[in-house]
Amino acid sequence: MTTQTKLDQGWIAALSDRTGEPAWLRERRLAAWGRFTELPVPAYERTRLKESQFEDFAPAQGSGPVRSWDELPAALREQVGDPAGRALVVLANGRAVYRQLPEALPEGVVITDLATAVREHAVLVEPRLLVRGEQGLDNKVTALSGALHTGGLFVYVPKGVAVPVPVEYILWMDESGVAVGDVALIVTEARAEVTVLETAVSAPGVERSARFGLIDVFPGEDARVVCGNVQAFGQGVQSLVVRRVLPAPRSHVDWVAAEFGAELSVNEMDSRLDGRGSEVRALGVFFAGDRQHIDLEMRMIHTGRETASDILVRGVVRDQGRAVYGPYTLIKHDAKDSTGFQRGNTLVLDPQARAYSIPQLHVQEDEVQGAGHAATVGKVDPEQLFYLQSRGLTLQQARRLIVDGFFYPVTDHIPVEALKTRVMAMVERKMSA
Amino acid sequence: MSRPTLEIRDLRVSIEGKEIVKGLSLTIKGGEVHAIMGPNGSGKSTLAYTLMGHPRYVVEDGEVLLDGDDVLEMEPDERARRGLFLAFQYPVEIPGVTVANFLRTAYNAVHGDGKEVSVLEFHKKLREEMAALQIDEEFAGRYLNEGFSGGEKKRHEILQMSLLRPRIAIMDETDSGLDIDALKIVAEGVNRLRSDELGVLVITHYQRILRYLQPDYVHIMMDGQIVRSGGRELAEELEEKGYDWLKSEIGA
Repeated sequence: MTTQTKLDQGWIAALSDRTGEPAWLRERRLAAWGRFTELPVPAYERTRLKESQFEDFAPAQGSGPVRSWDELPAALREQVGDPAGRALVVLANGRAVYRQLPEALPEGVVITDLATAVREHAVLVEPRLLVRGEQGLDNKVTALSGALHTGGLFVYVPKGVAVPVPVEYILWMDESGVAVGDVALIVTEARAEVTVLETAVSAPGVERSARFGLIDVFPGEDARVVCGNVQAFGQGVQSLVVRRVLPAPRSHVDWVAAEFGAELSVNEMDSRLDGRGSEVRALGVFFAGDRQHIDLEMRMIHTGRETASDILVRGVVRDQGRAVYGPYTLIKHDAKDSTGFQRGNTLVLDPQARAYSIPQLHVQEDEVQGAGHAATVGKVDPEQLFYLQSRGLTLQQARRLIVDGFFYPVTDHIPVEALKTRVMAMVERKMSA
Repeated sequence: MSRPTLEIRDLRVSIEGKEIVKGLSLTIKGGEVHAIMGPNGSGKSTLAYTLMGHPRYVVEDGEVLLDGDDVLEMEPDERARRGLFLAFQYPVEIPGVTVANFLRTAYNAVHGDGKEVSVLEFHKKLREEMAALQIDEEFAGRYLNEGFSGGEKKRHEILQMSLLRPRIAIMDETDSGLDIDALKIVAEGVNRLRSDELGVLVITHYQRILRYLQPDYVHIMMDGQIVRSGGRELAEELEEKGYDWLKSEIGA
């Protein structure tokens, strides 16, 4: 199935030729490749990445678009569920294969795959696509996504418009030994509202494949954006994804990160609170079992005045799973009257599981409204287990109930019902595995 | 269901190498209420936890039989499914788990396969039992024991007892921390459940709760052993004369 073509500049240039993309995008793609080759491997504190984790892959073959939902692979359809009435953009092995939108979306709203957007909405796409890398914000992951992307998502919401249904971005992988790059760009004008939910899933039996993803979000002034992701890849997949947001003044962004799958996953969220009065809230749920390694890196950089950030994460490690919770909040000098809070708790279910909690909070401005962090790593309390067992629950049932309850403070705050349900179902699935 | 029998034979229990229960024998049958009274540190709570199977307590010797079956071989959840129940002195908090969810899970676990009730049926049952114990309906939506007052915790223990319908119930200092009104409600809750199919072991420091529960037998426990057994009047005598009287009586 997989080609033996090596991932190199020649391949990137040939990819650009094949897509027939405009000159500006070809330039940005090649520049991203240039940065990729120069940038060092990211040095996450407790996640050691090697060069080989960026190199030992062939480009994905991909397949052409399908005409109807029913033509998509059964395993994918099963994981996504009933498509009726939903807004879906589906990528298979990095290429757009299916899109459906509900009838009567508000005028001016664009929801499409990235290649189509580049062709049909260049005027909206060009000012934002891959520009933050050129501004020096790339790391090796985002640079590779920018160079390698064969597809992605584009969402545009005009001024004052609320998109009535969540935009669902589905990433499906069923090729082994390949690297996939994708880029999502979400742009809103002032007072717009939109929810984007990303779901990453793979076919059973996929091995040694990797996703390099980049999500760039640009909320307009007073806009409200919710960006959720459920990472439920199989354990033969490596998932390195960076999510960035640059909120305009008074905009409000909710990140929801739910990490359940992959052999190795680093979900890096980078929020630059520059717009005065902007707010970013990040919720995170993770569950690492077997030999999984999951790293949730959440960065809140405050440069604007009256900006607010809040991080709330709960995670479970089991078996020989490893998890890293690494929140980083920086309130820079002049970001007066800002607030930055972090809370993270990890529950360790088994003696061989490991959890690392590395919270960082740096306040350079004297006049802040509030800042603080709290992080714990703990085991299940044996008294809780005994209490539940004394009421007839088996050890397994008791643990499941305690874990459900443990996640509750985060799941309860998930602002989108569909996402909340999906996250809780994933916890349930992990606990019964 | 037949009349249950719990037999404790020459039980010896240690915790972290220190012997706490030092050869205790007692038989409780359905329809009977036994009270164990004793000063602090006499081993009353150790006995309660041991009967329910807390892993911290090590049985050094002796037997515990429920209808002739070896209880000490069973995990705590199996004991519960066989009809043992412990009303905790200090019920454990479990954040994020609602009372309703917990109670329904426990109900289905104890009443077993094939007898599970629907959510609707269960909630009807739960409302009835809660009303009997004068527990407000909003209680079902709260997190297990989190932020409960002392009285709420104890009433919740009795609520569990009335839903799980145990055959042998052990009540560990259920009266502690209760005012007189709460104590009456709790005692009435237990009295309502009394039948030939339920044997009760009340562990208490004070005689107060016994006025409402009217035990058939009273046992005095000191230093890990039952030092005297008698009828209800023994509790009154003890209350009147104090534990020191008994100590001198038995020459301890």
